[in-house]
Amino acid sequence: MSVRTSKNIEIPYGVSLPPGSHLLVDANVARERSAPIVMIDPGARKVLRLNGDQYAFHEPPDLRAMIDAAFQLEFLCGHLKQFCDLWAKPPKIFLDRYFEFAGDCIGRHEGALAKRLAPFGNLYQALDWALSAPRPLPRALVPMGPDNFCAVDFAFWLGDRILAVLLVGSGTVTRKDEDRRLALREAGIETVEISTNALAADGMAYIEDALPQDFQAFWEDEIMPSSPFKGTSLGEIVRQ
Amino acid sequence: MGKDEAFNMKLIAHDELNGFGNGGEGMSMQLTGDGRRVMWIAHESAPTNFSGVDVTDPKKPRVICQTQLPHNRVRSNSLEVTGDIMAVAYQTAVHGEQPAGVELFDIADPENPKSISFFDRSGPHSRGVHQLWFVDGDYVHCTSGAADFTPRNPKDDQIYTIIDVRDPTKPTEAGRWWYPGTMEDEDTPAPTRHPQFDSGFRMHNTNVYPDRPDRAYLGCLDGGTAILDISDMSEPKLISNWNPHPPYPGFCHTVLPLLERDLLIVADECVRDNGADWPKLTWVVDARDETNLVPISTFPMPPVEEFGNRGGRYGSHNLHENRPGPAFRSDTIIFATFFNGGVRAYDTSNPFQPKEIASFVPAAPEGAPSGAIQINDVYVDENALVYIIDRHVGGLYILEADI
Repeated sequence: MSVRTSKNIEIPYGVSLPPGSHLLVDANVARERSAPIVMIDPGARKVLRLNGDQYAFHEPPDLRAMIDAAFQLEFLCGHLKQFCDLWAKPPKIFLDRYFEFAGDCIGRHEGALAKRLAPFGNLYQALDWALSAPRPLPRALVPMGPDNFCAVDFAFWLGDRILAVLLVGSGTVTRKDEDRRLALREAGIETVEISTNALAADGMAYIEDALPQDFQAFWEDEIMPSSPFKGTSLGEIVRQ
Repeated sequence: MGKDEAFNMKLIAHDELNGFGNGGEGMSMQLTGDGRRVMWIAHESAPTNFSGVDVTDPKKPRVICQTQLPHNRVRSNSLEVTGDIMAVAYQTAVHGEQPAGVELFDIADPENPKSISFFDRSGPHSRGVHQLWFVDGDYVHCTSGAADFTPRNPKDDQIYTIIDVRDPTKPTEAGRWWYPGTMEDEDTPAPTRHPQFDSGFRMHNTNVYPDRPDRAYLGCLDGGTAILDISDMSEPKLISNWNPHPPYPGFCHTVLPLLERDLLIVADECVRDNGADWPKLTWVVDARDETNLVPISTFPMPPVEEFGNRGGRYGSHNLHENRPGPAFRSDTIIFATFFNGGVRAYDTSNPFQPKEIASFVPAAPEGAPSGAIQINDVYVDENALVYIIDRHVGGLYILEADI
């Protein structure tokens, strides 16, 4: 695995750090954990969305079952949960609420979005736009420099920058936590802290308030809805 | 005397508590109205009842209060502080004696604790209260005998008891639960006794967290771990019971739920000297399905060959219990005590392979009857300062941990 280059930004995710390790790690740690990586071309200024590629499916998805956006969203939410700590509840709650938020946003703008799709008849449903939401990368390692990464609970690539999400529960903030906050700040990484108590209490409304403006109309830059389950011929689908 | 053994922990202060350095299983921090920090310490046995230590400057701890028990056949092994109220457990040496129960104190003026009330739990088959949990100001959860409870076996005398202290001047019983089959005349068959180390089926720690007020997490000695549904406190219901004893040597002590991670940390207590009841372990238990608890690892410990013959006990005992208030809380870093194995901190971020990240074993204190330190309990404050107590003579040690 190479680290950040002048051309590409690589974001490992689903990384379980070795016990006792610092939250700021070098490239070797990232490499040894053999985690999936998304590669970002910052020059393209393209948001990493749910409908993008570079998924690391453990098994090929059953494409015949991907009958509509609701199912695809549910599948992707479950898929991303597989990269969270097996026992941790807050990251999974975050994903549940985030996917609800994406669907809810579309619901609130359904009239306008449906109008954009009207020329295509029944080819699309308004909810297809929910797949345009930025893709959360659980347990991501955010590149901080040529050889360093910082472990965060979630990372998003918003087209022009990384957004780091830290889940803040009832646990004591340790020196390592403080070091991480400082390092993210000094590296200029935009960071949002999500209270797990507020997340549990207010759910998707809290997520909507907590995340930056980029998440308010995430479909705006998309010409048409698309799906990550594409690029497969009918023949291949049938063979599966 | 030997030397302290330290790994990522540093001793910053030591106080022998005026020569009464026999700490019990109760350590709780009070933030006083005038801005001081007072560590309240229960004592393992008479004559001392409890001690209050001003730790506002943790480098200069100072005993500001120390009280005595009425006689030497009672001990007050456990206490908890919430706000300016302290609950103290009284357990007598034999059944039928007094005082046996829970006393509430107003400690707003920590130099002069004032008794608010005493909740009597004495009875012909009761020794009173061994341990209590009081973190919400409303209820004391404890292991207690009762005048109207007759156990089939005298070792099963202390049952889970909920005491409503919302009016601290008039505590009342809100509920109780005993290990199935341990009450005289009940229909449930008596549980099978441990073949080698019969410690009983009474309760030890009884943890209930405000984050999860409908659950009680109980250590049931030879009965293992129990999770109860206490949404109706008057009728606690058993959800699950995980018990590795036998073949393991019994005495399940503390069940610490990691509430954001669906894991339990379960500590047994070593109760024999020189490794006689080895292995006494601290278990990591998968609780994703609370009705089907699955052990997945144990905390790594130095080999018994290294510590077993140092003197006194060597094995698991108390945990820092993530209680609310001015306390360290973590769902990954766990502090645990091991008698002559000192205090040890573990990173459980990979619960299949917990890793020791810090430890401190004080040198044998002068006059230690076993010839070794016997670290009995641990409290970690919100600044990650670690307070540990010796069981016999060593008193209070305050440590900084590099975590």
